Amino acid sequence: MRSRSVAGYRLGSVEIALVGAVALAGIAVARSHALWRDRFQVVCPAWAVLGVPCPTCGATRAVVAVMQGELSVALAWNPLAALLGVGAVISVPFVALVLGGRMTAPRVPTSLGTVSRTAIIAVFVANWLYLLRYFGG
Amino acid sequence: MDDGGEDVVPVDIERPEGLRVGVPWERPTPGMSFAGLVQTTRLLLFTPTDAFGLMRVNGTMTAPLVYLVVLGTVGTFFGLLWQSWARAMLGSVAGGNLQTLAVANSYGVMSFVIAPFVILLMAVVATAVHHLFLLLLGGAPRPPDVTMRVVCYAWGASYVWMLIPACGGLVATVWGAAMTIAGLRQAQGVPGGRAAAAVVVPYLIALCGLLALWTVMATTMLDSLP
Repeated sequence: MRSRSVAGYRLGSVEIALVGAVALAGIAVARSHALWRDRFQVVCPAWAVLGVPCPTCGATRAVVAVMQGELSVALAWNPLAALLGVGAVISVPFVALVLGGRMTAPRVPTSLGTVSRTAIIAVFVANWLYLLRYFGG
Repeated sequence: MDDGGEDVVPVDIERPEGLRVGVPWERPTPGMSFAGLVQTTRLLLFTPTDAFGLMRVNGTMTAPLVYLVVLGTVGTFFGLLWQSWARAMLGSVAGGNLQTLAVANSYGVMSFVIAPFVILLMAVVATAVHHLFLLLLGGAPRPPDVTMRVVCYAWGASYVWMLIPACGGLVATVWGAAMTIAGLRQAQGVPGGRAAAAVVVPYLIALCGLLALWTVMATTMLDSLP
């Protein structure tokens, strides 16, 4: 099998710490949902006006559901956002391990291969198609 | 595993500084002072291509992060001040009472207190999104911290427009996006079209989110009226 070099950069400790801070902030906001849910009941304008959901429709509800341990509900609202929510929870211990020097920082590539790019775009489009079916009906 | 089922051997790339001497805020003189702040902001707002051509692409992140937090906090203060003023004007026209105005303003004070943290976290999210789109659109030759530097300086300088009442937020958003495009092109060394797409496409996707936010703000403001 042929080896190929892939250029990339390791994330620095400041960047890792900031990623951890974003994850913790997201978790804290979602966990405090009970405090603001009555005040911020918002219908997506694209859905209200055009009858078409935007790619982020249901994302807030999905992340909040993840933080409340209701994974199936979260996946129903917005599968991609639900996975991001799960990722935020999982990332916290990894950030702690990297900052504590027990694990090397992840590497960010300088470019993505065609397969990787296509896969990411396909996941995004599939998620939107699901939302069109879920909210469109 | 990446494309083609080949073994991937990651390598680190050297981060060349080249002839980038830094924007005034990053240099020893004037450095992180009021003069440095003014010179850097003027440079970024009116000659962004030159500014991002000078910006350092390695070293510590202290200068860009402090620049963003300082100007972001000042800009947020003025943005909230104009909001409060508009709320008071609307209240006086519609006969609002002081209690509802005080409650609305207390939310403003809380927003100001948490503004530095929120600005910082939003910049991290924006960096991740712009960098991901650069990768999706053909690659980002330099590391994510260069994208973060661009976001910090572009957003920081554009917060100055928040000093303008009423339309400051809109001007800041558009100006910030334009500066981010110029910055990504200069600092990441990518074509202008790729830089523009990496900034504009997420904005279009996020448009619904922004509209929702504006709906919330308008509803909150109307709720505070009698």
